[in-house]
Amino acid sequence: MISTMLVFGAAIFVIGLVGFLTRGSLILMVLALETMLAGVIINLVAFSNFHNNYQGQVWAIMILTVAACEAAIALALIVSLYRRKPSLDAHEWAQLGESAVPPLEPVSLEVPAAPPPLPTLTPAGLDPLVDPQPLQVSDALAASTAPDAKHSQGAADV
Amino acid sequence: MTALSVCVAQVTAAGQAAQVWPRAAVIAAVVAVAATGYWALQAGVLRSRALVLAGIGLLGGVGVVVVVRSPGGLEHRLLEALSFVAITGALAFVVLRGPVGAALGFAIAVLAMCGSFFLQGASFLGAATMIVYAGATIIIFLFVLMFAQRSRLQPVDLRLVRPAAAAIIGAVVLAAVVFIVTAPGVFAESPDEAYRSLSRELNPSSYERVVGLGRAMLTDYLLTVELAGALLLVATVGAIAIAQRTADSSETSS
Repeated sequence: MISTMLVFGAAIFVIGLVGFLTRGSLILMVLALETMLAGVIINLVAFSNFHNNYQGQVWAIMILTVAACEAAIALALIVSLYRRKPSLDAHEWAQLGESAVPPLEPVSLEVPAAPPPLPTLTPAGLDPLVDPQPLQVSDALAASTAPDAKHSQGAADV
Repeated sequence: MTALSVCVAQVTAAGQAAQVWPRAAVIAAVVAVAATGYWALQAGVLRSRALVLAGIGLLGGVGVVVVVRSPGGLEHRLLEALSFVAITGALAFVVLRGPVGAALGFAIAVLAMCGSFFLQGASFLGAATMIVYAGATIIIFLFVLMFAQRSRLQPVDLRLVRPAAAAIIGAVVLAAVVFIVTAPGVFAESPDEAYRSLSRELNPSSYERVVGLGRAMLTDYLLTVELAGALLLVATVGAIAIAQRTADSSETSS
């Protein structure tokens, strides 16, 4: 009878639920999640048998896929957590702070009314808009940018 | 509170009209006994080994009685026997303290579940579940256990997180679901239909049943299959990316 299988599925699901709630080790908590998914798969196959079609079985295959992906990601996360701290206890990670880092000082969230005065430099030299000075070229620069000495011999020819 | 009292009055009236109280009382009593036994075992109240063995014997006796008195044929009795084996495995998973014993209890539960799939005509699903769940997933778990578990039981294994609350929650959920599912007229089928042969035809043989499932997956449920493939790819890439040991993390870890 279908109700027998549904009771069986519900029992497996509830046992997985109780296991997830009571266990403290990370790996066994993920195994309890897998048990809950197994209970759902039992229900789906029972309904597929009852209705005489494939809907329940296809859905069950998709749940198997999701369960495999979830197990892979969960175990990758557990392995990375284990590298940080060699413990499988889920309660070790209840507090996300680290004991070696000092606590942060509380930051004041008040906004100052006026912006603080920015530092300024004393201006050096003359303001070109106020006291314009003609462009003064040094003698050496004038001599080097005059017609070149190499061409100066031929300048008379040209 | 008036809404609550109205609800209680309606439930009581419906219950008296439909004669549900004997069934509800039986279900509530059985579930309460199971939950109390679980809590007593986990909270350390029940320490006598003789009582624990008596409880296990009681569970086995209930299973034998249910299977022997089942009105169905051999297939139904096998199905119920496999259900009890699976429930026993799941209970072992929940009760045993050592992680390896718990993982093996889970493996027994999954294998019995696969047996029930074969009996219900879901041959491909039974084989696939056996390969994926009892094969790949449990082996991955055992690898990580071998990598991360110490030889002695750690305090995390021996300590339990509020077994009383978990037992109450589980008992309420289980009693509610069982009560609804075992109602007399929920599944409109005659006793002949209810205890029909389980390996009847979706298709005449197991091979054609698998062919039909494959055809359904690739025609009616094609989008679902493609999404499942994409999900698997994303999960693979994600798992590799998460578990890689990068240069800065290996420097900062002690």
